[in-house]
Amino acid sequence: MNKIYIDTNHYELVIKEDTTYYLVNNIDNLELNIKVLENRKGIVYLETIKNKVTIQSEIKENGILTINSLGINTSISSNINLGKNAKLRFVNSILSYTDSVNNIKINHLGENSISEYFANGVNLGQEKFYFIIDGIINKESKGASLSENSNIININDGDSKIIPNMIVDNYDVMANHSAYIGKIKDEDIYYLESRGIKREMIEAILIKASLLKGMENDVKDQFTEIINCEIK
Amino acid sequence: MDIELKDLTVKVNDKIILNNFNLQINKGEIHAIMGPNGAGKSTLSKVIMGYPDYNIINGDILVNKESILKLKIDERSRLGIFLVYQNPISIEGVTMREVIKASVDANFENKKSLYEFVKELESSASKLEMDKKNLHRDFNLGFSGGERKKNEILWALMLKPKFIILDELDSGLDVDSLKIVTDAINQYLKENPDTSILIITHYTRILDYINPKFVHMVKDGSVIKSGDFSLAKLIEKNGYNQSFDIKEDTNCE
Repeated sequence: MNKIYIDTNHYELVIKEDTTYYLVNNIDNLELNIKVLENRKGIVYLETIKNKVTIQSEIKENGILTINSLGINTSISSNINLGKNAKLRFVNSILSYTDSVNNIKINHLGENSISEYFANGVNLGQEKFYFIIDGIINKESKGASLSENSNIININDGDSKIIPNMIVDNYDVMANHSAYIGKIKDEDIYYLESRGIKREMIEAILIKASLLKGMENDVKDQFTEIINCEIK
Repeated sequence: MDIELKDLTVKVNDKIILNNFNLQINKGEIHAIMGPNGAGKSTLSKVIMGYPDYNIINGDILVNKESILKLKIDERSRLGIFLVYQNPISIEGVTMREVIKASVDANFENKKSLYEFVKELESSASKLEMDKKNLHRDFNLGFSGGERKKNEILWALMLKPKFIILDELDSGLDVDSLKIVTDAINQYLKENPDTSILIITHYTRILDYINPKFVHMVKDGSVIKSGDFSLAKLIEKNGYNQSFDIKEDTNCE
């Protein structure tokens, strides 16, 4: 998998063929535009450290977009529009010990469009860590399906919030969300301790697991390396 | 490993769960604990392991004649105690292989190379007739009850414990899988004859595969009757309630 190192504030991807991109972003205030053309499938892996990113995306009819994003001390905003029969799977994992405010907007504009959004947050500090997720199903989007799943592991009692909003303007749709904010579960810690693993290592394993949840296998090794460096 | 539970009384949320519990397991012995639901069997396993929610108000747990009460859960594991859970957890985002590797690294001073580790892991997985692909799947995620139990035994084989607690091992295992799993345990015992085993079970089925030298019947948090394998058969025949009252000799020590 080829890596693309982004060195400009505005980067545009147009997915004309079925393609996988691995993007490494070191630019603050990056605006990333992703357009998936009709009947095309794109996979975008995004590695972004210590910066703010805005993702604007349009998925045309029958297009499929998968985004796996790992951010360290990052805030991500997004505005994603789905056309007819379009599909989105967005896994947005962020490990942060500074403020991280993430505004995610997913618009269902076409019939039978499907979106799945997974927010995996680990708040290591005592700062703001917000996921504000607006899922919108328009009147024209009969048969659409919208799903939002958000978790924040709040290690040091930081100011963590999940605000899921679902604005649904059609009766014939499916919409669901789940949200969890809390510490690492004692049950998981005791279980791993009972296999001789020390507490510090257990926390590292469970933080890593939480951030890699739902990610494609192709990207797990590379993201694992980044997480290992950060939690060391 | 020698294990002695001495006059153990344990409280959870102001309720006595184990009451003056006594049990002596010598090196290389296999013991079974049987009892109805709520008798305190699974509590016992977590108390031995050192779970902090259980308040030991009296008594002691001795391993090779030394108290382990002050040891934390991970320290007890590194001493050689291994609990096979009735309902093991699952963890999404991390593979079986990674978790077991972390555990093996923590338990042995001489770290194995990744190659040696993988070779040993795959060899142990073969003994359990496991699909090797499972080692690269998220830990226990989407696994059946039987597969999870196999994963537990695989982990035990990798850590080479000296005292194994099998908490309801047979629940979730079909007949074929139970045979595979118990064959692997019996083989392990043959290769490591000093290893002691405590089987916690409702049913005698597992005892036909791993034969205990002693069987103990538990009620209301205490051992109320001990005997040999024939006690298990008596329980199977008469049920718990009637077996509590039967005075016949079951070759108790």
